[in-house]
Amino acid sequence: MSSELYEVISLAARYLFSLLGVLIVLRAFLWLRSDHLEKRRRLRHLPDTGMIGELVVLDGAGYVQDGTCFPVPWEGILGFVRSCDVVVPCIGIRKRHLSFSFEPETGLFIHPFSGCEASVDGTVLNCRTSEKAAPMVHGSCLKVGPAVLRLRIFAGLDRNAGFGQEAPSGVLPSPGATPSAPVYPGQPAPLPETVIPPEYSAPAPGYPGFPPYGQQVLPQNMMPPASEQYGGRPPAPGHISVSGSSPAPVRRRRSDRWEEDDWSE
Amino acid sequence: MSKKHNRTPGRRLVAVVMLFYFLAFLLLAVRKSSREGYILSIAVPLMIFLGTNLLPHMFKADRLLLSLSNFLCALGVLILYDTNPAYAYQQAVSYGIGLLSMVICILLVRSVFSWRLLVWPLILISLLLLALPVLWGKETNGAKNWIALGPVSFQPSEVVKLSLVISLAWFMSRRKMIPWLLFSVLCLILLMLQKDLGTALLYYMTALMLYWASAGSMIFTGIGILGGCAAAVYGYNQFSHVRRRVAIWLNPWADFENAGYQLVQGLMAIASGGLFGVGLGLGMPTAIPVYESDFIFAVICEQFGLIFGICVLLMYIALIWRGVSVAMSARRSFHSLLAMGSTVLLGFQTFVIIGGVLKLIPLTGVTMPFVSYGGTSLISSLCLIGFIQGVGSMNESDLEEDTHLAMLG
Repeated sequence: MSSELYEVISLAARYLFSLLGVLIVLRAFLWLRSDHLEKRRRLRHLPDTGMIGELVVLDGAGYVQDGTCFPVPWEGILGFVRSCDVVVPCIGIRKRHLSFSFEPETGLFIHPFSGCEASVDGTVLNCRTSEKAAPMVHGSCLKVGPAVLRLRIFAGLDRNAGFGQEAPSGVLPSPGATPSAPVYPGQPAPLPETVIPPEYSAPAPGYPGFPPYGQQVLPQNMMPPASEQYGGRPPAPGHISVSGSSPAPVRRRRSDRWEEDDWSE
Repeated sequence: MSKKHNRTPGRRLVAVVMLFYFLAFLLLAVRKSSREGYILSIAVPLMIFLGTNLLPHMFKADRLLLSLSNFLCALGVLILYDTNPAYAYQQAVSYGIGLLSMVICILLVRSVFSWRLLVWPLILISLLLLALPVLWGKETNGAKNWIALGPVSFQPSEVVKLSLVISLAWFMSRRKMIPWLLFSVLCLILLMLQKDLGTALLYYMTALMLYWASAGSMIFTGIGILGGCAAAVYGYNQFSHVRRRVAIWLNPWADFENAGYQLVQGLMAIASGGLFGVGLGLGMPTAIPVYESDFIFAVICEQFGLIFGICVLLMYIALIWRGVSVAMSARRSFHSLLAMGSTVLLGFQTFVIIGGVLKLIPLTGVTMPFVSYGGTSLISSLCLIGFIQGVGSMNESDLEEDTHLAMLG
């Protein structure tokens, strides 16, 4: 091909290349946006995604309502500033009080930061004592500042988190144990039988149970009668029903499966 | 359903990328009348198609990251094929090795559960590798950062980037501040001894950003930035080639025939390209010194124009956006920091070299990720993408598992 002809073709092609470049960028950003929306949609339907359980406030010392649930991720920091993964707004809790990480073999490892103190089932952890870290298992109590919280680990982690390994009994909810009844607003929280230190064993006054994340607790008189809607079975906490119709199968939380899962699998 | 699936942005993006490279290589093949050009015009789009469709099926790899990184790698091969075909063939081989390394990195992230056993040997090897050029290095452009082993020469600092990201992410996820600080400082000292200040800047920013992402302490991050500024002033006073580069950056036209020649030629190439470029295969890209590595962005702007140059920049931004998104979605802090470190490293490297070429900041001798000629740089960049891909695929597995569990019962 002569150089003149090539020059003409190349000069014409440069517009096409610019157009293709712009198209590639547009497509890439459209892709990013659609993925972002898809991720948001999936997370909306899976509110427990990335969480291993929740810390339930047994005694909020007047700063946090008793029964409030704080979702707990795999790893993170507990404190009272918003950048923390678990924010417990209590006087006496530092900005960044303790770090935690979940290991399926041992449980949720609690490690207070320097100058901070916490206790797990009565074992005091701080930089002055020999115990600087301790694991929390399902049902363990954590005292941090004036607040007392209890860990409730979701079911399904033995399949999800252990990379195919069986988690030892005692860390996760026991499959053999009698499944707890579902918890609804207005009912006391049925927690598994665990040894609770005497100072935490007294029931917290006015403990309302486990409210679902981001949802308002309905008063007892607004709850539909379980016998009418679900054939005698109370509804799971995540279910939403439309006045008298059959329950819509939406928004199942992993925490629901704790009560309903068939452990014989 | 299948029609809808075909209309996803992913399919269209891959189709446009394939069309771009088919036409570009075909044009060059017609000009050069070479059989290799025709082969490349078929082989490169085919590789992109297979790479972006096969790998996601095998490893749950992110197709957007793959598409963008493949586009940028192939852009490097295209520019080199136009300017110096011998370099292009070497770059294509490095690209193939890089893809394999990326797969290994994905598998590494997915399969290694105890990084503690790997981190300490990695640190030891990294420090030894960084010490080698100080003792037996080859000096290029004022920096003594190359090692020649017979016919093969490589830059150890490019290899150490990978272990730096892994080690710092692991230390920060375990909140081991002293080893983190010691390793970072030792790496920086060895890079200062090599006079490789561009890479030292990358390492420094990566360490600082990882600290900020992990600890979130603005006070110590600010102290770190101040320390970096102090080190920059020290470097300016200590090294003559740094002073020279700053002087060139301030006024390249003062000595445009000698010291400022490279930067001036780069700026003139960008300006002569205009909005749409001078046309592929036309212009004088070889007039720019080190056009194949440091100044390849100027060549892109000259050949394809400013609009395409901005598109390339936006592709890097999309890549960084996706990397940060993957890091934010990770379940474990190590994975999160690994993806974040890899993204920060790639992002800063892009900023430093493109900023240097555009005269926004003083020019440093780092390569443009994926595009510049250089096997070690290309492979290490693809490995960093492999880390991000590995973390992304683990996120995807976790989310799928969650969806599965939620649907049970």
